[in-house]
Amino acid sequence: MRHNQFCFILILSIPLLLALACREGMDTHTVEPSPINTITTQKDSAVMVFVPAGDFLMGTSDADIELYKNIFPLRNISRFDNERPQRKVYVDAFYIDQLEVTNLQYKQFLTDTGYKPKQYLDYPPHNISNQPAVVLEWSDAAAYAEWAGKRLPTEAEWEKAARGTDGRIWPWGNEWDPTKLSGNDGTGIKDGYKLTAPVGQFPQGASPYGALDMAGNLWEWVSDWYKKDYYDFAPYINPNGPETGDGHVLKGGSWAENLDFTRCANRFGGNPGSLMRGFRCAMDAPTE
Amino acid sequence: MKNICFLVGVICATTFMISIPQTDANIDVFVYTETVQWIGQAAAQAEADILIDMIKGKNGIGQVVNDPADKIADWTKQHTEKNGHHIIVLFGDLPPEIYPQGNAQPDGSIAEEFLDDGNTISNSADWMFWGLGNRNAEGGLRNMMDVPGIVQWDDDTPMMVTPEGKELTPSLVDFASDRPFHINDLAATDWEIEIAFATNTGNKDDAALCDPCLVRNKKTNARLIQVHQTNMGDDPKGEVIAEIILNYYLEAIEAEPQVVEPINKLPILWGNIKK
Repeated sequence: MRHNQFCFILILSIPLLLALACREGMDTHTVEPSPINTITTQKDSAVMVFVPAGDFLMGTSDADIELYKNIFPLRNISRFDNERPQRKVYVDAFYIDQLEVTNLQYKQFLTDTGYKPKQYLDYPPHNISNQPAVVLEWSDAAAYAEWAGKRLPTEAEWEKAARGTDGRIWPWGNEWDPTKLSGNDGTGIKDGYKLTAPVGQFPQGASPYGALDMAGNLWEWVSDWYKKDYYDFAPYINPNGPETGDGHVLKGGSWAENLDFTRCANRFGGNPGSLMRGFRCAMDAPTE
Repeated sequence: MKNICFLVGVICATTFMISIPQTDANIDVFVYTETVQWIGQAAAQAEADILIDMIKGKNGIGQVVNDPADKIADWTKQHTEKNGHHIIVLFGDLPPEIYPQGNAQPDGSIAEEFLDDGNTISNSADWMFWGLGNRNAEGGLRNMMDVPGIVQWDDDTPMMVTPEGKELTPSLVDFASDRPFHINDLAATDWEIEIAFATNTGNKDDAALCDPCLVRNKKTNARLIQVHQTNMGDDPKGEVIAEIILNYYLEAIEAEPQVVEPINKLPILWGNIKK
């Protein structure tokens, strides 16, 4: 009797498990995120998370646009044109810093090299050691990455590290939650910080690969030049941006942004103006 | 007796002359579009053209120019110390010709002197006085207002048109501001929100953030007009700036208490005379 019950439950469970497995893989036939796999780089003592090779959904779909009409009623829909069309993109395996580069790390770079940054906000409250370094110029970010033996991530790498493979809106999923990022609530009541937060304060907002602060805190430089219509002609495999463009791409939003600019698919380029920006680094993963 | 009547007549006439509102205020306007931020140059020019078309030749408006940066310093200096309530209109950039870059002259810049003389600067698109290429960053607005710590963060903040906005700025509709004015930052300063056309609550009294709105220095009558500080937004900036100037500003500067110096050099408050 007990044996029969076990068989019955097992038989019932099989289709349920199959259904769940199919649901996970339905949107994209890609490698699913593996458990968080990290390394620590010597030069800047940064923890990096592993992102496996494979496809992911990059950009914004027609269905997303329908959703955004309700979420962002005051935004002109043309605002999302530069994120379209959504497409499947393959990127090789890579590592990306789990956290944004801090002032402690950036100042170590400045001390070691004597490099003179063009626009690094080295004054309070922005320059506290465990706060993300506000590096307004792309070249100042790229110089750090080179010193650290790394590079800036491509836009595709950044977006995959932020949203995984399933096309989710924010790193943690599809439901907005102001407690999962250092974002804009005007007062700091919801996220605990009126301006930037020290890096890594929002583990509940982690991306599928374990990267933190991918939404909010500071906009992040990536290596790609910005072209509004790049997605119309970008390659499927390892896209790394147009040959040249209108400035470099910024991703992720900052502490001053909320629902819209902190979406993983959001991209900004050209004239960043008063957007407050920093960066994190990436590096190739050894091929097996 | 004749002498007394004559004297009374002169006093009455003088008092009457002094108390006449300045209907021919002749506010000159410099619209600056050579460098812009958070708005394309073509888009800024289109908004500027709308603004100029709407205000040019209107009663109370003097010369309206749309000149490049090499003209703005002379114009600004010429319109300082005239107590004229003249206006500079910016689209996201404060040119270094009137505010040296990198906050190199935190006090006494041509632009600040212009403000301190009771004139007005309007700004749209990016953070007021941030400067192209982060010339001034947060320091620009702080120095120009002499308000340490003032910020303009908080993107995507819904702005609802206030009753005043509905009445005075018919082109204004609810929108999301990316760089609103922080009303609480003005507490215990010389500045106040004179009028808010849209706020995060739809009213001035209980609001924390406003855009568009007009901020006035209570001591100098300097004014800052913020209109649609949005990131690449396609808002009706030109129309709204024009409506604020024509439907509100011209009347507001007539009604404000201002120091005048009659022949005997005794200061007389316009507001007191009008009461």
